[in-house]
Amino acid sequence: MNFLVERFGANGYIGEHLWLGHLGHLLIVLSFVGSLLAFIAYFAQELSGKHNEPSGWRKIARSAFYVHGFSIIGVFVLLFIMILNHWFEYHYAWRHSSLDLPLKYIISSFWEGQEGSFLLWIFWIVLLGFVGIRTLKNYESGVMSVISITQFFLSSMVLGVYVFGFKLGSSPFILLRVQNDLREMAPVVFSNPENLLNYLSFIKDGQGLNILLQNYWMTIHPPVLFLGFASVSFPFAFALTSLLRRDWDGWLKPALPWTLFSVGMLGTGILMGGAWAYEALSFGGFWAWDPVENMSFVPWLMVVAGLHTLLVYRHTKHSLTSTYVFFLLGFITVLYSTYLTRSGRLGDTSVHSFTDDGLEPQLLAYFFFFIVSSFTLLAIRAFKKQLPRQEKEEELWSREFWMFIGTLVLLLSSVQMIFTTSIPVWNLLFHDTWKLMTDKLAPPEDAVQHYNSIQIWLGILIAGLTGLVQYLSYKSGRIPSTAKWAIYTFLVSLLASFCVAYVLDISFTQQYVIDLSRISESLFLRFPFVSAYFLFLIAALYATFGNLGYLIFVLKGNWKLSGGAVSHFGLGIFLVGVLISQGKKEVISTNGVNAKDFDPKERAENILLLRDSTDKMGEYFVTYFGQDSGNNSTFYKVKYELKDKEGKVKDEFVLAPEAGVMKGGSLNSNPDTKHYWSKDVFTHVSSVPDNSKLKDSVSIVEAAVGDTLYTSNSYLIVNSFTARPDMPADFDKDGKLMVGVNIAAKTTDGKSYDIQPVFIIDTRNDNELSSKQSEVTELGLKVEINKINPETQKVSLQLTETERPIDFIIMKAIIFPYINLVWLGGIVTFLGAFISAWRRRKD
Amino acid sequence: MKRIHIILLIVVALSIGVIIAMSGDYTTYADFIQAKQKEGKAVNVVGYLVKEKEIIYDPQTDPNFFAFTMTDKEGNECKVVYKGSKPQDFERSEQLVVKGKMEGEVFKCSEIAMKCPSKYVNDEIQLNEKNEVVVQAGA
Repeated sequence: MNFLVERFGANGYIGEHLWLGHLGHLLIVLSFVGSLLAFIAYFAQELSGKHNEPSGWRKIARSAFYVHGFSIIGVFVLLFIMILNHWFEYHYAWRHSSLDLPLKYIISSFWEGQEGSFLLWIFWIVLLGFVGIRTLKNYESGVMSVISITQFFLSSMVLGVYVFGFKLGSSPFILLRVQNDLREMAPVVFSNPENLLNYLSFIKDGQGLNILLQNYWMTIHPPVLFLGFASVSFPFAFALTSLLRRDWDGWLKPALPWTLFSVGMLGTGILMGGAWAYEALSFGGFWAWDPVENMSFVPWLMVVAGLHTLLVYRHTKHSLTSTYVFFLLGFITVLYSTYLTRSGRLGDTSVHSFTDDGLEPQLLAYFFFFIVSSFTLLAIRAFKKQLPRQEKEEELWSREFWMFIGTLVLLLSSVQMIFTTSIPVWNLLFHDTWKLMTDKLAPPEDAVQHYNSIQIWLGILIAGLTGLVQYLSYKSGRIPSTAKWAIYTFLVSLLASFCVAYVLDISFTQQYVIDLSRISESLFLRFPFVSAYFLFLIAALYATFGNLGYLIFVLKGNWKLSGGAVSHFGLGIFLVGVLISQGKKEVISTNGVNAKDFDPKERAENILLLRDSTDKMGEYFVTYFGQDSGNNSTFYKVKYELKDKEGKVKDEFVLAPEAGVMKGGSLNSNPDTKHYWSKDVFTHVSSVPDNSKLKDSVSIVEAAVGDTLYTSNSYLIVNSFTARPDMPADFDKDGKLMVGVNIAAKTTDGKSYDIQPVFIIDTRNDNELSSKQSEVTELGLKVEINKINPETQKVSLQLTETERPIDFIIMKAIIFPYINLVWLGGIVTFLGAFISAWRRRKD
Repeated sequence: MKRIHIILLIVVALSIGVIIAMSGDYTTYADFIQAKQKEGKAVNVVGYLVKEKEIIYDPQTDPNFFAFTMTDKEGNECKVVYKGSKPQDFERSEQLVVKGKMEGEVFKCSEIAMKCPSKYVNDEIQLNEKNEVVVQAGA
């Protein structure tokens, strides 16, 4: 027992729960070793070639993976216990949570930090791995050896041990007093050794969760997104197994449901991220082309491309190499995005990247290990001409040909995102390291425009192909009779596009400018053409109607086969929603006053609303009428009224955007949105007056009875002096001389307040002087007697006026038309993927 | 040559074209002197807020006008104006990145990014009042 106390007890520190950290460290090390052992054993079985036999290797491998898995689950539980119990002796709990957090946000604080989010990722792969062990059959050894080695790298990120002086990973079980030098943080208190040992009694609360993350989306978005990221490893593992075994066909069936699951899950995670950004952050939209967003989108595009080429190969024996490339890229881009967001490299260019925790070398090792090993294997198979080749070319009007073209479009789209997102990497390589560039590159001036201007054309191609391709048949290239519906639905879409564009005022043509000024000074090609927005509308509506037609007229409601068509139908709705809600979004908080010094064409987007005053914004009359206090924040209540011609209120609602002060003083803002089926009214507080620095103005005046004194908002009449002022009942009057001054404070609107400052002389105590001030809170006025001059019968009064706080908000209001189509379309798309995954599960 | 090769060529050509077309969008990092040389061209300037100079933001006259003085990393001072509301906590910023163009003597910026000390490294221990009293008595 003594040993236990020494080892797990206190080291003299009082109140620590050290057993949790020790157990946690032990489990992390166990999981790390377990994953390595699982890899070695699985790989040995894989190389033995006996994939289907319950060999000794498999037994070892499975046991090792279970040890790994249950250790991770144990770590997961321990971290929750630590955070739920507010054991602030642990840096992670102290840094990311606080006592006042409700349960759902305590859960969120689990994955706010680098370590917790890695654990979440590892945890999901563990669960998927457990499913894999039960279902993969003769692919278990191959797939699970890849999964085990990824787990080996991932669990090294939370290891937190020193190997030859190099810190490997960062553990969530680091103690606060180890992470930070307490004596440095609060020298006065902790230089006292007794206080130091009892330091926990000084740590009253944790740092809390960033208010931007205090949103129910933060509770559900990261788990779903990380499940998506975790699932991307499986198509990758299948592809590697297939390459290793030179088994070109057998892996397709078992890999398909995993791939579909991945597409659905990662897609749902990204869409939830968009919903979160829209609901809770002040982006003013659901997608800002932020590097972190892009880098979660690219892996999804790659897996989607891989899914399509996989289907092509299954039906036609074309596009096998592309399938490998896409699945490899899917996982590699996850690793690349992990590197970018967690190494601190994106610090300058992204709003939500982690800071540098010294993990960069490990992240790079992880990335290079997999990019080198997987592409080397693929290259060997390709150069040895071992990959099966289809000599016959695809027919022009075959399904496989246009599906392949579609995947190339997805690749192009990813190329742009990766290229621009990698600016910090280009700077690191070409500027800092090789000195090939004189200036450091920075992100485009208008990032949204930069992406939109290119992605819109790729979107047009993808949407158009999505509507058309299912009507074509595989291999033969003969156009089936049902293809007439492709034409009918296209005509319907065209007609619908004209109607929608007319109603919503989307321009049919636009002026294109091609900047050739680098070739010749001020050479610009200008020409009018059908506008990209209108083309996009046609294509998106065609994706919708084309697939709807296919569901009704070709599949005739056969739900078993409909997963693809449902997904593509959803994609169409989604794209229509994207176009309308973003293209026709309207900032209504414009107030005529244009910013000084700026082009008057640019509209000012913020408006000032004084408390209880009404402004017209768009078709609404908007009034800021009050506040509610929330948890460390304030809700600013804003009423919107829609009036008819007679001025009667047709519709009204109240929005309460939130702005709150974090511990440490920074202010964060949470928008509020009114949802209609056809539009959203989005409101965001950009600024509130800083009333913390209100100044007191002090003036000293001499006054006699009958004098009138003026303040900024009232006038004071000195009525009389009294030797018997009203004093509190507990005031000891013995031996004290008192002089009270009766003053009436009057305001211009006729209100009157009586005040009576008192001057006190304590005769029993060396004639010590003191005074009692009197105040009128309504006027922000304090009056105090400085001295009394008995000869002149005058008093010297000190008037302190507190500056009145101004109550206003500066807000932004935006209308997003038909944004619900975005959510609806997204949900339908991923539902389609899940339907397919479920159906193919038993194949 | 197979159709697939032609298509791949087109894709490669398109990618190169897109990257070249995109490269014109990129801005560069610069100091204020370089920004002046490239007047009218968008650049990013990294630097610090001059806290002694006046920070102008009077939302009651114009909630979309914000002006302040900043020095770049070389120590060159410049007045910066921004069309929009003053970012919260602006005075506490440790470092600023402003994106915009030089126009005359004034840098007009379209985007301000701040690095605040509070965001990730604010590891301070807060003490309650009682404990402070205890410490003062002991010290």
